[in-house]
Amino acid sequence: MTHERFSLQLLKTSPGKGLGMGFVLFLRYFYALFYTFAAINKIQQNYMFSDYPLQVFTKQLAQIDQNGIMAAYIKGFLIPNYHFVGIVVTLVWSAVAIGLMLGLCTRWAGALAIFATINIGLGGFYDASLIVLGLIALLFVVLPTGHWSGMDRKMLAKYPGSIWFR
Amino acid sequence: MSPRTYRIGPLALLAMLAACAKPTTPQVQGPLAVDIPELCTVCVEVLRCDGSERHTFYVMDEKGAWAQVVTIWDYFAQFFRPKTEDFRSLTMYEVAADTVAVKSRTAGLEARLDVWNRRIELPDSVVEQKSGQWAARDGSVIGQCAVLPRGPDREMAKLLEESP
Repeated sequence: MTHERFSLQLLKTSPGKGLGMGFVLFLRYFYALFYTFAAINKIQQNYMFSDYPLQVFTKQLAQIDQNGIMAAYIKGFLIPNYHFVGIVVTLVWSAVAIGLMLGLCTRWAGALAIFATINIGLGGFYDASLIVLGLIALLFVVLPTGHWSGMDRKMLAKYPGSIWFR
Repeated sequence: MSPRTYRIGPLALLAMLAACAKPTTPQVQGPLAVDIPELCTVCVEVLRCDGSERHTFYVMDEKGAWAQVVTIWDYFAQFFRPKTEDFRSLTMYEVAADTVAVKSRTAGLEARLDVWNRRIELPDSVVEQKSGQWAARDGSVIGQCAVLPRGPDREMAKLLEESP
């Protein structure tokens, strides 16, 4: 199945459709930048190979209700496995950034972003902004934005039927 | 809109953000006697301030839903320029010396968190977060402040709100 490509020509011929696609692509690139900066920050903080995640989780634990599900998640999972979590967080953040920026495996990058958002919430950082971020990420799962603009279109042509580039 | 503008637009936005300079003075570093996380939008902060003549609770509410959503931009912009201030809606309770019996309350106020200099600017006073010193607007020292820990803070906020 082929999807339309976003272009300035499309904006002229079908303004409504073009603006809609353009807006979603704007959100995708904004989201990609957001994750790019976050991933750079994680790498600068040596999130994968230091005890920095432990410091973050310990500080966050002190800021939330000690009897809630978030505190249980931090105490029971994040703190005991902070090395593993630090590695996963850095890799997931980087994968989302690359996927959304290049439009490569875009739907999977969107799914990873939802996974990350849920974990940010469980990690005690829950607020209304996460609902918005989760819904935006859902757009990248549902819509073929990697075909509107990105590498998914070419990759699917090269590997027809692949689930990674749909 | 030309293709050139279409490509340059986002870059121009980033360049404008990057151009927003940091404050010239270095940020006051911790540890802080009064530590208030400026990016926590769902935290209720309760400051207890005690002086020889005054005993006051300052209760900063959690932010509303839209203000929470706006923090997406705060996190994004922090890569280019650090957050230097934040504002919280505030209720002030004057209490008796040894109890939490409320003598007077003033709602609908606003507190400014000076994140860079680590000061909390209240309508009637200023709290230095590094030392916890509580001073009047003219600089005269009133006393000392402490922030209540999580858990007891919400209980105290509720108690104060419900007190006659």
